[in-house]
Amino acid sequence: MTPERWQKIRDVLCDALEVAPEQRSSFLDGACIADSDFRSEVESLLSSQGKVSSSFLQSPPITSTTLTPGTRLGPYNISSLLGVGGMGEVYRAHDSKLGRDVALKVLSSKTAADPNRLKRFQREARAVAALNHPHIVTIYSVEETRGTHFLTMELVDGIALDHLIPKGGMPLETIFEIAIPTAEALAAAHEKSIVHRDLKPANIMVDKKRRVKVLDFGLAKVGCMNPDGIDNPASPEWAGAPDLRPETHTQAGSIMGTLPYMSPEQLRGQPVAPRSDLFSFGAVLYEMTVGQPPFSGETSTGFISSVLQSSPRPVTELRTDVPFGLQKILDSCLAKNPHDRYASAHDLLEAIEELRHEITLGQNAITTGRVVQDSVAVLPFINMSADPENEFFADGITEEIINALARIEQLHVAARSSAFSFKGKQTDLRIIGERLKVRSVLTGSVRRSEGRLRITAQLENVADGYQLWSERYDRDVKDVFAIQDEIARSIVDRLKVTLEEKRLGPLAKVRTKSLEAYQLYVKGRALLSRRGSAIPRALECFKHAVTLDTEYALAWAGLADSYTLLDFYALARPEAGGQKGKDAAQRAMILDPSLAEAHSAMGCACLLYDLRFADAEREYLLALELNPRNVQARGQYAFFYLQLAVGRLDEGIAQAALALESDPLSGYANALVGMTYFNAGRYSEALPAFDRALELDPDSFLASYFRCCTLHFSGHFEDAVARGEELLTMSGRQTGTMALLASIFMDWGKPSEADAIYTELTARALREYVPPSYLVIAAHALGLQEEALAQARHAMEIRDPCRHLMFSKYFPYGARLHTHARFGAFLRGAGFE
Amino acid sequence: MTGLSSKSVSQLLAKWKDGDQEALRELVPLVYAELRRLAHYYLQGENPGHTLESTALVHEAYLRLADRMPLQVQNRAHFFAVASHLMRQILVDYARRRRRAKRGGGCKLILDEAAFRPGGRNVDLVALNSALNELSRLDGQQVQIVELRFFGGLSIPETARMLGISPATVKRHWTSARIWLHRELSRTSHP
Repeated sequence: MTPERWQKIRDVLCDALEVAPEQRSSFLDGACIADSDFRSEVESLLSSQGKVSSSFLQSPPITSTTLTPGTRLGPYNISSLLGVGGMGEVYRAHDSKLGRDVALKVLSSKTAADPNRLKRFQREARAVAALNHPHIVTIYSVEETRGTHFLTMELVDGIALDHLIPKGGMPLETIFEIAIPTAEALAAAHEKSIVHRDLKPANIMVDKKRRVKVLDFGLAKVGCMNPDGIDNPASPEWAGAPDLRPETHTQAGSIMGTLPYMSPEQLRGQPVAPRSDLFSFGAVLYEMTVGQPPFSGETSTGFISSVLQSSPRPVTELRTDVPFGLQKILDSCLAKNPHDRYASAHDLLEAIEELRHEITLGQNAITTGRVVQDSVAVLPFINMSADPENEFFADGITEEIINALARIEQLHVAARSSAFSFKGKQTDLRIIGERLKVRSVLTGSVRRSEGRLRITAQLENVADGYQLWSERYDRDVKDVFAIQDEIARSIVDRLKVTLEEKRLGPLAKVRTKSLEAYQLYVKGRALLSRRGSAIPRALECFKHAVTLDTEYALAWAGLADSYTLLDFYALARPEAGGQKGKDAAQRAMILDPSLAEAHSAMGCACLLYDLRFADAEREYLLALELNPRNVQARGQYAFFYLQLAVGRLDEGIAQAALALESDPLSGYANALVGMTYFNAGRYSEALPAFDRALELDPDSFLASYFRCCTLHFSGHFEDAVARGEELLTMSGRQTGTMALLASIFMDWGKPSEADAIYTELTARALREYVPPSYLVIAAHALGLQEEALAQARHAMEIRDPCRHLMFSKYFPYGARLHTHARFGAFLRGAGFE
Repeated sequence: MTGLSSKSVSQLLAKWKDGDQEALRELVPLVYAELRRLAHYYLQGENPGHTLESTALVHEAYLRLADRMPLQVQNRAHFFAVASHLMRQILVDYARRRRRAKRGGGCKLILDEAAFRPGGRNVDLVALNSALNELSRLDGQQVQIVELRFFGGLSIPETARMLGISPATVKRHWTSARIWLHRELSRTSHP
C-alpha cells in the first residue's frame, strides 16, 4: 500500500464511520467506485472497528507518579518509588518522627474521590492494622495530608514469591518454609474475620533472611481501581475483579493479574469467605510445587471454565519426589465447592505441619539408618512417702536407672527430661511410646520410711500393654544403689540385649557410700536444671555433698557446673577467672575420667572464662564420646563452641537437631534449636522452636530470652518489648534482659525508653554486680561508644564469662559491635575473630 | 509537589547505564510524571520552572537509549514529540527484555509488572511497535499522534495544539490509526 492510497482509504473509512451502520454499504457503493480491492480494505477495517474495545490505546501504558523523591508528606520523606499497583503507588519513605523507613501507599485518586469506597478502604485498613502477626505486613497508620490519602506500613526488603518460583518448582523444604508461615498468616487474619481476597505469589514476600510476609490483606479488592469492576452494587465483593473484557484474550496465552489464583466462587461473583483464601493458597502451593499454576487457558473465558470445571493435573504426576500427602492437601484446597475444603486455615496449617513432620521423620529414619532396636523409657518413679523431700530421692533413682541403661549401646533409652515431661500425668502408654519412640516403658514407685525402702518396678510392652517384668524390693535404705543396679540388670535381661564383656560389671555404679551425699547430689541436679535463682541453692547442695564424700566425682562435676552457671547468669561477680569451677571440674576428672559431665564442665569453663577454643573443643568432644546422649554437653558444644567460638553455624544447627533427637520433649533441647537458628539469622524457624520449648517448660529463661532476641531482629519491636518486659518481671529485672530491651527500644525509635533503661542499669552497676558485657551492649546501642569501650576493656580484665556470647561475631548482637570500626579492632585484638 | 531533583535523576540514569534495571523502574514513572507536568504548564502558557533540568533529563535519557548525537529541541511541539517517542522506546525496550527474561526462564523482571496499568497491560508493546513502524511508512503524522496520545498521555485538544492541526483532524487520524493498529495486532497474535 502506498501512502496516497492509505490516505484515501483512511478518509473513506472515517466518513463511513460517521454514517449509520445500516447505510454504510450504500455509502461505500458511492465512495469506492468500482475498485473492489479498495472497498474490501475499507470493509475489513470497518469490521475490525467493531472489535476495537473502547479502551484500546486509550490509557497510557504507565502511570505517572504523584510523588517525587524528596517530597515531604507530614513526617514522611519520600525516598523512592517501590512500585505501582492497582491500588495506587507504593513508595519507600522515611518517617522522621519515629526514625524508621516505611512503605507508604498512596491511594489512587479514584478510590480517594469516592467517599463510600474511601470509607470502606479505611475501615478495612484499620482492621488489618489491628492484626499483629510476624507473617503479615503490619499497617502502621491510615492518614491524610493535604488531600492525599495514604497508609504507611512495614517496609519489607525482599522479593515477591512470583519471582522466586523456578520452572520445575521449588525444593520441598522451601515449599514448607513458605507455605507454613503463609498459612499461619491466613489463620491469624481469619480469626479476626479478615479475608485476604487476593492471595497470589506477588503478595507473598520473602526477605533476605527467608522470612515470609503476606501483603495487602483485604485491601487489594477494595482499593483496586480497575474502571470496569468498581462499585458494582449488586456484588460489592466483585469490586475490582480482574479485567474480563474481550481483549483479555491475551498475548502469548498468558493471563495477567490475579485470575490464576481466584476461587470459583470469586469468579462467579459470589461473596468471598475465608475458604476462598484457602483455594488461592492451594493455587499458590501448586505453583510452588510444579512451577506453574493449576489452571490455564488461552483466553480469560477459557481460563474461567477451567477453574470452574476441570481438575488440575496431580502434582505427583508432574514431579516424582512429591509426597502423596501434599497432593491430598492440594485436593482439599482446590475443591470447587468451598465446603469440601479445609474447615479453616488453622486445619490447613495443621495438615501441612503434620506432613512436614512426617517427611522429616522419614528422612531421619533413612539418614541414620536406624534399625528398630530395643528401646525403653524410664518414667519418673512415683514418690509414695509422706515427706515431699523424698521426691528428689525418687527422681534420683529414676535418673540413676536411666544413666545405667544409657551405657548400653544396643539399647535406646529415652532421655531424662523427655521422660520427666510425663511426670505427674496420667498418660496412655501408647502415647508415651509414640512420643518417646520406645517399645517398652518402665514405671515404678518409691516409699521410704525410717530407714526402710520399698521400691516397685514394672516393665511393659508399649504395643500390647503386656507386662514383661515386675519386681518388688523391700530393703534397707542403704541398699538403694544395689537395687538400682538390679533393676537395670533385669531390664537388660528381659529385653535380651547382649552385653559386651567389659560391661559385665555393675551397671549402676555405686558412686558414693554416703546416702546423704547422694540425696544432696540428686537435689542439686534438680535445682540446677531450673537455672536462674535456683543455681545458688544447687551450689550449696553440691558443696555439702562433697564435704560428706570428698571422692564423689559426680558431685564435683555438679559443683563445677554450678560455679560456671552462677557467673554466666550474673548471679555473682566472677572470681579469679572461674578458677573454682575449673578446680571442681579437674577434681571430678581425676576421680572419674570416664565422667562426661566433668569434661563438659571443663569445656565450658575453658570457653567462657579463657576463650580457649581448642581446649574447649577437645573437652566437649570427649564428653560426647563418653556419653553421646548428654544433651547439655551437646548443646554447649553446638551453641558455645561451634557457633559462637568458630562460626560453624550450620554444624551448630545440626548438633542442636541431634540433641533434640535424643531428648525431644526437653525444653532445653527445643530452646537450643531455636538459639542456633537465631544465630544463623533463620528467624522464622527459630520462633516455632521457642514456642515448643515454652510449651514444654514455660519457665525456660533461655527460650524466653532468645525468643525476645528473635522478635527484635525480625523487626517485631512491639512484640519483642512486650516479651522482654514479661521476662524482666519473671527474672527480677535480670540485667542481661535490660540490656536487650535497651537495644530493642533504640531500634524501635524510642531512645528515651532506651535511655531510661540504661540509666537504671548503670545505677545498679554501682550497687551490685552487672556483667560489663551487658553494659557494652546497652551503651553501644545508645551510641555511647566511649562508655561501651571502657566496659568492654573491663569485661576482658575480669574475664566476664558473658563476653563469650555478647562479643561473638556470630551472635547477632555481637555482630553489631564488630561492624563498628574501633570496636571491631578492639575485639579482634581481644581474641574475637 | 516538588519538581525532579536533578541529582537523584542523574544518579538513576547513571545506575541504569551501568545495567541496573531497577533504576529504569524508578526512572520511567518520573520521566512520565515530568512530561505530564510540563505539558500542563506549556499548554497553560506558564513557566514550568525546572525546564532545564527536565529537558536535560529527557535529552540524557534519549541519548542513553538511542545512542545518537545530542538533539536540539526546536520548540515545544518538538520537545513533546521527542519525549513521547522516547517513552515509546523505553517501554518497548522494557517489554522486549521482559519477554527475553521469560523465555530464558529467568524470573528477574526489569520493570514491575504493576507499573503497567489496565488498558496498557493488554497491549503487546513489541507488536504495537512493529505495527507503528509499518504505519510510519504510510503516515508519519499518525504515528506521532499515537505516540503523543498513548505514550505521552496527551488529550486530543492537547495533541491538536502541539501539532498545530484541528482537533477534528486529530480525531480522524487517531480513530483510523487505532482501527488499523488493532487489525495489525490481531493479525500478528492470531495468525
